This record gives sequence, C-alpha cells and structure tokens, in this order.
Amino acid sequence: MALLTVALMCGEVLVETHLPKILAQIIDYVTAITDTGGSTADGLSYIYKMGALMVILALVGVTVHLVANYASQKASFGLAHNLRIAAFDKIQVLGLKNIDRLTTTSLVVRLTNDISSVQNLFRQILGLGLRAPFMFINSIIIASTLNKKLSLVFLYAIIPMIFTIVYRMNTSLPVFKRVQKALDGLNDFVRENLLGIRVVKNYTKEQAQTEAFDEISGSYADITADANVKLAIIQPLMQLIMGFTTVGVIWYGGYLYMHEEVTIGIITALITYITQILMSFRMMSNVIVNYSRTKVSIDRINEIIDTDSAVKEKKNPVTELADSSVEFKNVTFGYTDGGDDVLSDVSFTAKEGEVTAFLGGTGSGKSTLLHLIPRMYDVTEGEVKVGGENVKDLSLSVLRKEVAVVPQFSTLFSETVRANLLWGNENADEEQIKKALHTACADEFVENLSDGIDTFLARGGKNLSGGQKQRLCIARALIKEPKILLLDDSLSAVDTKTDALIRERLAKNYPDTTTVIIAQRIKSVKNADKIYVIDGGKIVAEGTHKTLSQSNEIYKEIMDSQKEAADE
Amino acid sequence: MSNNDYRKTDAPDMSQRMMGGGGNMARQRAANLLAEKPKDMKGTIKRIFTYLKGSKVGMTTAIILLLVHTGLDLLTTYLLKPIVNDYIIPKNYQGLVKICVTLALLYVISGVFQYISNKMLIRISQTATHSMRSELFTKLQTLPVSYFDRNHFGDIMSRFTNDLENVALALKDTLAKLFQCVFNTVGTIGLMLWISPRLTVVSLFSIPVIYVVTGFITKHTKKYYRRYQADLATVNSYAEERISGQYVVTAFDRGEKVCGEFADYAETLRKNGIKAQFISSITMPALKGVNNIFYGFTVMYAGILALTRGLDLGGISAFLKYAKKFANPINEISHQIIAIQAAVAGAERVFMALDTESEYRDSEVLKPDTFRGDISIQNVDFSYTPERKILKNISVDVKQGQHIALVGPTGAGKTTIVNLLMRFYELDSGRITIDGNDIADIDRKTLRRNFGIVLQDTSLFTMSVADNIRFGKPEATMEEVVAAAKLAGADRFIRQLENGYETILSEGGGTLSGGQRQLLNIARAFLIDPPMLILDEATSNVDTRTELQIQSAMKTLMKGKTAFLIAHRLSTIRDCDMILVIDGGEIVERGNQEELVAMDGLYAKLYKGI
Repeated sequence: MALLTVALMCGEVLVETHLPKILAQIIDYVTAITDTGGSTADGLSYIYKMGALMVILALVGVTVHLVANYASQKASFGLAHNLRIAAFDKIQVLGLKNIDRLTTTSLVVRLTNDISSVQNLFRQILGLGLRAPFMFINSIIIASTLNKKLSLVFLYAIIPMIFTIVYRMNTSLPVFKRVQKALDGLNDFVRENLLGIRVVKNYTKEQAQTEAFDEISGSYADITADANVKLAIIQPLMQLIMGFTTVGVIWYGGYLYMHEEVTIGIITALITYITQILMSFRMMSNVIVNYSRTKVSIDRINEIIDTDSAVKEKKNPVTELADSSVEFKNVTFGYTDGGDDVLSDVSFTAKEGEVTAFLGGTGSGKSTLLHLIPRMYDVTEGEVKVGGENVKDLSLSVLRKEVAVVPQFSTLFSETVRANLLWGNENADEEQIKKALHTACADEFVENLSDGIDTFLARGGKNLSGGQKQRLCIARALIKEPKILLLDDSLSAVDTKTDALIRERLAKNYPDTTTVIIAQRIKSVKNADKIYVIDGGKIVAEGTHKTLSQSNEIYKEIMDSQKEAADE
Repeated sequence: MSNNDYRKTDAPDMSQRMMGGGGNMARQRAANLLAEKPKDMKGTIKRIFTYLKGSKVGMTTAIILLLVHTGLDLLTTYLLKPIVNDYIIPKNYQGLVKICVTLALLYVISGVFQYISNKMLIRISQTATHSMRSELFTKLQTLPVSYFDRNHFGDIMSRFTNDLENVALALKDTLAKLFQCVFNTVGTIGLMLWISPRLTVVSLFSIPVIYVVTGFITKHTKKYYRRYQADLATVNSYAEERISGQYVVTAFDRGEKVCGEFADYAETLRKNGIKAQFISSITMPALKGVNNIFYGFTVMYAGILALTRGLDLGGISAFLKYAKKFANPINEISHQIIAIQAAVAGAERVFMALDTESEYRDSEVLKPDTFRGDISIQNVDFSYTPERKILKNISVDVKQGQHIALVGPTGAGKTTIVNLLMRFYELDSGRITIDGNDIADIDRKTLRRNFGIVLQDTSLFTMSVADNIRFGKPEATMEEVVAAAKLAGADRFIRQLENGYETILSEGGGTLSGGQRQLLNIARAFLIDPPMLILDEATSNVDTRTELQIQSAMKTLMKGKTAFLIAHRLSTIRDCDMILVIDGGEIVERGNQEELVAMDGLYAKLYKGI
C-alpha cells in the first residue's frame, strides 16, 4: 500500500510538472504563428489539441492524487493499527514490574497520542516526504531541458533557501519546547488552584493567587510571542527568495531572449517552476521538522515493543497442582533491580483449606507478599511454591486459574455486572454465579440494581459504593472456584456485620479453599488458623490470635490502638 | 480520558498547529468543523474586540500593512505584462534592468511589510489573550465553590487551553487573513478583468464548481469525522481502562481475551478512520484538480484570443499567473470562517464563565477583628439540588471552646455542614450566627480566615514544604514555620526529605504519603491559629503509627478552640463536649457519650460497629 502511494504520488507529480511545459509550447507556437503570419486555423487546432491535453492531464492528476490519498490513508491507518495492536498485545505480557516502571499513564499516552503522531508523520512522509523531492528533481530536469542556461538561476536560489530551512529547523524545536514548558507550568498552576479551591478560599489566598497567575500568564504570553516572532521571519524570507528568483529569471531570461536563446513561453514556464521548486523545498523541511518532533514518540512506542517480558513461562511447564498449599522459602524481593528489598527472607506455609492471615501497617510489605503467589512478580531470591511446585515451573494460565485474587483497589470494568463476574470463569453457569454472589453478600444489592445482574457498570464502577465494589470483586474471584483465594485488605469498605458474614459463608461454601488474608484490623484476622505479623518486610511474629495477644508486643500494640473497637 | 491525564494529552499542541503541514491543517479543520457553532456571533465578536482596545491603532496598522503587502504582491505579478510587452519583446535591455530593480525593491518592501505586520499581530493577540486569561482566572477566584462542584474540572481547564488558544489564533491569523483573502480575491479578479474580461469569465466559472465541491466534502467530512472520533475515544478508553486494571487482567489471565476485544475495536477504528480522514483530505487535491482543469480551459481560450484578437503575450503571462492561484484565497476564506467560528464559540464559553455571578456581596460589611467562637446554627435547611434535601431543620448552639463531634453514616450531610459554615454554599433557610452576627453579614474572607479546616484530601501546592505550611500566612518566619511543624508532629519527616523544609513538593505533594500530607495540613492550621476549627478525622491508607500522630496533633490543635469534628474514632468522640448523630439530613440524637449509649438508639448501634 505504501509503495502504491509513492508510485501514484510520483505519477501525479509528473502530471503537475509537465503542465508548465505544455503552456510554454502553446505560448511559443502562438508567438511563432503571429510573428511569421502562419495559418490561424493550424494554430487553433494546435491550441485545441494542447488545451485538451492539459485538461485531460489535470483530470488524470486529480484522480491519481485522490487514489494516492486514499492509499496513503489506508497505509498510515494500517501502520497505526499494527503498532497499536503490537504495543497493546505486548503490554499484556510485559509483566507488572515493567508496567510499574513505565507507569500506566505513560503507557496510555504511548498507546494513544504517540501512535497518532507516528501515524500523522507516516502519512506526511507518504504524501509529501517523497513527493516533494521527486517534484523538486523533476521540475529541475524539465526546466533544464527547456533551457539549461536560464535554469542555472535556480541554483542560486537553492542556497539561501537551504539557509532559511536550516534556520527554521534550528529555531523551531527549542523555541517550541520552551513554549510547551511554559504552557505546562501555566496549566499546572490552574489545575492546582481549581482542585484546591476550597483551601485557597479557606486561607483567603484569592488575591495572591490572582497576582501569581497574572505573572505566569504574562510570561507565557511573552514566551509565545517571542517564539512566534522568531519564526515569523521565515515566511517573508521564503517569499523574498522566490521574488528574487523571479527577478533573476526575468532579467537573465530577458537578456537571453534578446540574444535569441530563449522564448517567452520558456520564461513563463520557468517562472511557474520557481513556485514548484521552492514549495517542494518547504514541504521537505516540514517533514524533517515533524520527524524530529515525532522521533520521541517513535522511541517511546519502540520501548514498549522492545521490552522483554518480566515474567516468562518455562518450556513444558507443570500443569497440575498436587494440592492447594502455598509455601514461601526464604523469599527476598524488591520492586526495582538494586533497589530496596520490600521483603527479606520470608518463609511460611499456608496449609490446604486453612485461613492464613497477615497483619501489618502500610508499607510493611504484606500486599507485596500476596503479589508473589500468582507470580505477578518474580522473587529476587528464594522460592514461592504453590501446590508443591515452584511457581516458576508452573504453567501461568494454570497458576492464575487456581489462584484467585481480590485486589486492594476494587478494579471493575465498564461492562455489565455479569460480564465482570465472568472474568473469573467464562463458562460459569447460573448456579455458580448465584453461589458466588451469595457468598460475597452481593446477591441482594445486585438484584436491586436497575437491570439486575445485567446492569452496565459506569467507568471505574462509579455507580456502586466502595463496599459494593469490593463484594463484586470477591464474587468475581469465587466464580473461579479457586484452590487458593487471596484477599488483599478486601473487606475494608464492608461493615463489620457483613465482613463476618462473608467470612462465615466462605468457610461454609468453599471449605477446601486455602485462604490468605491481608488486613490492617485485628478484627478481620482474629479467627484465622494462623496469623503472621509482618513489619519492615519481615515476619516478626506468628501464632493465633490467642497466643499473639498474650505474647507478642507489636500485636498487642496494634490491638491497643484498635482496642475499644476490637472489644466491643 | 481521566482528569489526571488531561493536562498532558489535551493541551493544544501549539507547535503542531503553527508549523502544521497539510495533513495537520486538514485535521484541524475537520476538528473545528465539529466544534459547536457560536450562539451570538455578533455580540461575542464585539466583546472580543473590547480586549483590543489599547491595540486598536496597532491592529489597524497591522492589517493595513498586510493589505499593502498583498497589493504589492498583486502588482508584482501584474508587472509581468509590461515587462514582457514593453521591455523583453522590444529588446529594451536598459529598461528591463530598471524594471527588474524596481521589481526587486517591491519584493523587499512587501516582505518587510509582511514581517512587521506579523510581528504586530503576534504581540497584539498575545496581549489580548493574556488579559482575557488573567480576567478569567481572577473571576474564577471569586466564584462560589458550587461552581467548581457543578462544572467538570476538565471543562474549566479547557477554557484556559483550547478555547483561549483558538481565540489567540484567530486574533493573530484569522482576522487579518480574512481581510487579506477578500482583498486578494477582489484584487485578483479586478486585475484579471483589467487584462482580459473574456478570459476572466472562463476562469470565474470555476467558482461555483469549487463552491459545490467544498460544500459536498464539508458535509460528508462532518458525518464521518464524528464517527471516527467516537471510535477513537472508544479504543483509547478501552486501552486506558485495561492498562489501568492490568493487575486484574493478569491475575485473571485474561490477556488473550482482552487483546482480541481490543483488536476488534481497533479494526473498527481503522476502517472508519480511513474513510473519515480520506474524505477530509479530499479538499486540497479536489480544489487543485478543479483549478487545473479550468486552468487548461483558460490556457486554451487565451491561445485562441491571442490568435484571433491579438491578446498580448505579457498579458497572457500575467493573467495565467493570477488564474493559477486565484482559487487559493477562496478556499482560504472558508478555512478562516470555520476557524473564526471555533474561536467565537471558545470565547463565548470564556465569557460565560466571566458572566457567572461572583460570590462576594456588598452587604457583607462586618469585619470583626477577633472572633470568640460562639456558633449558633438555627433551623437550617439546605439542598444542593432542589429535588433532594440534604439538611433539614438543623439547630445547634456551640459555646466558645466547645468540641462537637459529628457522627453518622456516610452521605448523611456531615461535610455539608462544613460547606455552610465556610459559606461555600448558601442556606435555603434558617441562619447561622457567630458571636451573635449572622454570617451572611460578615465579610466572607474575614469569616474564612478565622476557620481552620483539616479535611481528608486537603490540597498541597507545587512549592516548598515551608511555603505550603505558611500558605495562609506568607509573612511567617522560618522559626514560626518550624514551630508549627513541630506542633503538628511533622518536623521529623520534613527533615528527612531531600532538602528539608525547602523541598519542592511536586504534583501537589504526590510523593508524600497520605498521612504526611495530613500532618502538613495540620501544621498549616497551627500557623494561622484560628479560633474555630473544622476537622475531618478520616484517614484512609494511613498506618497505625501515623494515625496516632495525626490524632494527637489534632487534639493539641483543638485546645481552647471551638471545633467541629467529623469523627470516626471512639476515643476522640468520647472526649467531645457534644455528639451530634446525623442521619438522613437530620440531627437524630444529641448529647454526650453516656447519654447517647443509654439512649440505645442509632449511636449505640454505630458505636458497637465502629
């Protein structure tokens, strides 16, 4: 498709560049007839013939141009499409470690804005990037066949033209970087002000903010004006070069005409070629400037595509779990290579069918520990075993089918409740869905939604309360009927009564499931078979509520801070 | 697109626009086509001109210079006629040299005029836009908080970005260009008529054709472009949502499925995109094609005229040069009209914000030097929207130094009381007095300064930690700042920051933990030491230790002050002088801890649940 575009564009250029030549021929023919007194009838038939040729060429030109345009759109959309799919597919297998590094926001920008920029550049290259040089060369060739001496004037025009373009390329990029920076600063200021308007009003800072903004806005206006003024010289300069070249052609052409070396028709044609040549020059510089701006986008997309998957499946992996236990053996882990360890030397076993709980403050590493079980990240040292097998030896799809996570932040997607639930198991029947919803204490409120289970969820589940979202996430995990269930502080927005009820139903309806709970509140872990207290990435105590509340200082301290609540 | 990404992605790419190649122009044009049409074109344009008051002379001069430049351009082309007829053909070399020098001079003058005109227009448009922008911001500072709750944040932002950029562009380019194009078209046609009326007629036939062609394209562009943009939005938001939820996608092993869905959306986008972009890209080649075809006819007819009626060669050369480019300004005019519409629609939205009523009233004359802090709320009713009452008949008397705990389920109206005390919103009925004065009579700024608020998500600003703490009292010395931080228990972690108190908080303190941000807010309140406080105890995502720190800092802060406390913790509630249990917008129970527990009502139930 891209090649077709280029071929068509070149065809169109051939047409375009031949028009002035035909014009020259007509003019000269007419001159010859009037000068020598030839037959008017001959002249007319020649004019009809050539005129018709011009019209036909124009028709051909526009048709070819349109087809070429279509081809270039198709090619550039095709490229964008392929890039988009490739990048998106790659993101799916990058692994969370890479996603953390590249950040979600940046990935989204790469997938949207950057791809659009590349698409535009590609279209521009197809449309102009090759057309312009071809036009340039063609015009020069035709001009020199018309008259070699006169076309030499063009050479003199090219030199200042190159200078102008170099000036433009050197000026515009830094200048607009400065404008962009000023604009970002301005937008940041407004954004903070708008989001913090209550604070601004509370501290009656309106006046001060207004004054500060006035300054920012003023300096932005100055910077933008300076940038534009710097570039405003370019257009007049180019026109001046064109003007001088025209003068040169007229002057030297007139001189040559007087020495019978050139005809009026050729002079007229060459004046037309000036425009074509200089325009094509300008377009080439457009493409180059745009390329250097888009280069960043290209690199950013390539960075995604070239990044190696952080979590790789082993060849011929194990596809069967012997049991539903989880075991950590001297696990050490940090999110970044060479960065601080978030977990160090953690060992524990969660036995089949038991509830194992981890208690600790923010930043203690308890959520991280959970991420390692379904192999969202790979450990730095040690082993994570699920069902007796090292997770690195397990098939990823089997591992993630058997391990269900209820994440700390209830992520739901903008589709129906049912579609969200089926994430757990696409082939789940009504019975399984009902059971899961009931266990998660979500059946009642789902029924009361406007369309029941087929209610469409708003972006980010905004039409649900925090507790409702958490319960749906639990139901989604349960539909998997997983061997291992991981609850990452997943009941924080659910009231005490429901919290207890959910845990009770879990034990009743999914008795063989191994459960790992993470929590900040004593209440949520009290009934666990085994409790681990984690602090600073290390397990500092283990036992049951009973033993820990008697023997462990940290556990007691946490308990004290939540005392009244826990005792009531 | 979520709010956070707004700044980076939606900000207009100025450079793209200003350096734009053909593709971008077409895109911009198609995008502008979709912009809403202005409602009051005439009135809005008049109002935009008021911002040019100081630059009237400049603007006129710039436009005149531009017209002179255009006239000189037309003249230089016309000169081809005498050059060919009177100098080249008669072989008058001396004359040719002379006229070439004249021609070169004209080009220089024309270029200089163009440059000066551009330069003036750039300054004028930036000055005018700057004053509009400043006025807009100043106005926003006086608008009631309800305005910011009602209007989407992104919408307000785009007043500053897209809308004002469109106005700036119109003032710089569009207006002048419009004059220039009209002048150019009229001038070109006039000179063409002057050279040969017969030939002109043939050329002018192209105008209706151009009109029909562009009209047709514009109509279809709109339709397809709208669909294309919707598809693009779908693909982008799908990608954003999945990538943001990548953790879940991975955990549920849905990668393949998600890729498949994405590919489907992307495929629709590809198909519709090609159509939309193709149709919008037709304009330029189609116009050129029409022009070239008529050019062919013109050449043909010119030849005939030369043979039969002796039309001079010089005249033909000049005429053909005019004929070659006379469609450009016509095409340009339609571009500029669309750009003007976009600018006027943008300006209209800016003016709408400027015309919103400010919250400050002349009747607010009381400016007490000090507040004791006796607050009385009397029979207050309040609703955000007429359909739904938030507060019903609330009455409570608070004596100086008392601490009041507000307790109740979420959404019961606790934060609304804050909005009313601070006069962020107006009451439906009833009144609130402080030290016996109705707060409606108190100067709003004085009132607000005497309240300290520490809410859950209070904002920090991109400035140093010290400046954030002295936000309400810029003249505070470093010693005072440190003292306040120490009282708030924030001193220790601040010292551990890279540059201590001088550390610049980026992205609104995004690098700090929730608890640390909260401690800075408390430090801020300590520094201004207000007689009345409104505190929200809620601390999500805060570890136990920091939570205790926040609690004790709040306790110190409240000492001796009248305080409303949106309380979540039993220990804090218990220490309060009065507990108000709010449910469904009403005070359902009031009293101290023992009384309420004895009552065995809602409080007793909540109390067990906490």
